[in-house]
Amino acid sequence: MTSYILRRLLLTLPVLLGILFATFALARLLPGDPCRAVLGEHATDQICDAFMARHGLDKPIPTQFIIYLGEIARGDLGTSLRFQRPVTRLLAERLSVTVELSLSALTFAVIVGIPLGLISAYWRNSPIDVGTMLLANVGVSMPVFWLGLMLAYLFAVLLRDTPLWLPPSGGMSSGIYLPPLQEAWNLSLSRDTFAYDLVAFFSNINTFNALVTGHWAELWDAIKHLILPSVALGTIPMSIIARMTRSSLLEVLGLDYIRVARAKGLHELGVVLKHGLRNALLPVVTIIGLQLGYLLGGAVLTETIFGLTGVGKTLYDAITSRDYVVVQAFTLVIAIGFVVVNLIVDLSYAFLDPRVRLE
Amino acid sequence: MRRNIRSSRPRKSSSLWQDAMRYLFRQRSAILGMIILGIMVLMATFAPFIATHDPRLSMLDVPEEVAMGVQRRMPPCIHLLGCPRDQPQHILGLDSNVRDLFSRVIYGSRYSLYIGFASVGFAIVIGSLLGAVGGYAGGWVDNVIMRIMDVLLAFPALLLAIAIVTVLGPGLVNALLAIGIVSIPAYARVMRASVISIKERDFVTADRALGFSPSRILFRRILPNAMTPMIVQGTLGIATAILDAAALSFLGLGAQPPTPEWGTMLGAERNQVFTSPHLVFFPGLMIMLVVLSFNLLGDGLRDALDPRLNR
Repeated sequence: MTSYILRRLLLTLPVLLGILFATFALARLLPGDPCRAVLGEHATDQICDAFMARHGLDKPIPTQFIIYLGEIARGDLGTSLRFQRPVTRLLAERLSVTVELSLSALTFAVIVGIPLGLISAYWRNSPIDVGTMLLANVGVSMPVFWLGLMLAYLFAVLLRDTPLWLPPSGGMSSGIYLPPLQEAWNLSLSRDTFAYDLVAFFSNINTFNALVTGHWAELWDAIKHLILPSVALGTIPMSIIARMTRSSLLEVLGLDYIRVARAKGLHELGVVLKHGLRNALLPVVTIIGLQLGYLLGGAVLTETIFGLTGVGKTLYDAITSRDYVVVQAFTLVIAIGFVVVNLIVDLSYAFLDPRVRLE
Repeated sequence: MRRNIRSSRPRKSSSLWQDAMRYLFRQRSAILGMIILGIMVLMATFAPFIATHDPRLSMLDVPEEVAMGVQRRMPPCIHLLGCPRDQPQHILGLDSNVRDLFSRVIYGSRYSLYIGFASVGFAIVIGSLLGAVGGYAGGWVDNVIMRIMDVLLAFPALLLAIAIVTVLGPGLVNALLAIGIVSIPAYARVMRASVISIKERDFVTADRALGFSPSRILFRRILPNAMTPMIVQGTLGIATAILDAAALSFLGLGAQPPTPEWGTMLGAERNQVFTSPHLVFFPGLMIMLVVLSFNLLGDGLRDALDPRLNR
């Protein structure tokens, strides 16, 4: 197992280096002049030269890359050209929105997807199975932005005066304010520390903040705002998980030990749940891990539609406004996060299934 | 008696493809996929005959007696379903620029199918080449190619596509190029895996013993045998490509207005969803249907081409 982990980590190194290079190159390849994009069309050449020198953009590209690597190693992601704020602070604010959205979308996908797959496999080839799988096929085929807009129309307009009404945009109702955690807990943190950013990150997860500080009305409000975006973003993963659960379960149910369990006279439901599902969930776990990349991509669309300022929306805005420091830092964080999750999935797979290690 | 005579004859041999097609036509979901896709193809081919109006023509630019005082974003009006006769018929209503939505939706099928086939075609050609060379050559060549693919896979596909389009500049062709590029790794991996498993087979060893050149063995002997998984992956890939292209267009990075592309139409009208939902509903429904058709067909093909499944 140790040698497998080492081998797998060693394979990750060139990928990480490639990601660093790719994000660096991407930011340099964005068309347009960063100086005039930030300072405006009328900036003189003199001002622009000073701007480029201040941000180290007048140095040769290889030197810039070395400087960039050094900054990353020190945990410095630079200062946003547009907002004139440290990117780490921006990230602490925006990442929390996306993490909250992705996690709740994934939760929706898992708690609806697995039972759907289970039902489908249990009554295989029945009308229930056919209907569920058609639903799952429709689910993977829906554009996120269309589903989001249609859900918003259904719940915010058509169901306006019913108890089912749900807000179509934003993270909280206007007028509702949640104090940051350092205020609620009387923490005195200096502004330029990692701890400050970390606390800020958790403060901005509205549901988490409201839950730990006991603001129940605010919690309910935050949850209500989270439902529609989560369902919109979670529908594709939900359908994928349902299909995977079904096919994996059907494969397992054809194995000999299941026949033994049935021969012992166990109840069919017990066989499926206790003996089948447990072993069938292994590939499902992998699929769940792999949905993260999709969730982050889909977050751009979901955040745009539901007016949430998360990582996806910020990155999209940064790309269109040539704020390449933010582009570089955000793509880097997303890519590294994705690689780490894939690594964890691979390692957990090797941990659960000894055959993988020996390959 | 006839049965005996027939069974004593040697069984007619059938190829993998004949078997697969026969099995494909027995699956209800695959047939549904083929029907939807067939309708889409007919719609794209005969768009000028089906569309009731010019998809780019604003009703403000036609003579008043033809337009009959239509309003912007008028909801669907179908005479057969009780819409007053004195109103002009617009099956799916009008959009914000007073264009006939039905005609635009019909013409949209052309763009969707074109984007799907073109971007996946591009990705399959480049991806197969990279995967085949890597898998056949092995060693450092394989390592370099696959690590580059890993880097590409490390970025969420849609985000990478957005970044590439920004570098290349927004537009339909650049959008499908971006989607092609981000889907290369999937095909490279599939092709590499098949090439690696095929190159150890006896018929390849025989070719090598006969002194054939590596490129001849790779392109004439191995690639044709590695095509089956690519066809499945490609069909499912078209579905993803169409979804991603629609997303790029929705964000204003793909086809530009007034192109009647479904994603573009949706993006342009998204702020009207609360007042005129039909402008968002119909283009999105079409995207869903065309993506669904490729998904159903791809799943059917996968089952049909999998020799391990007993029928």
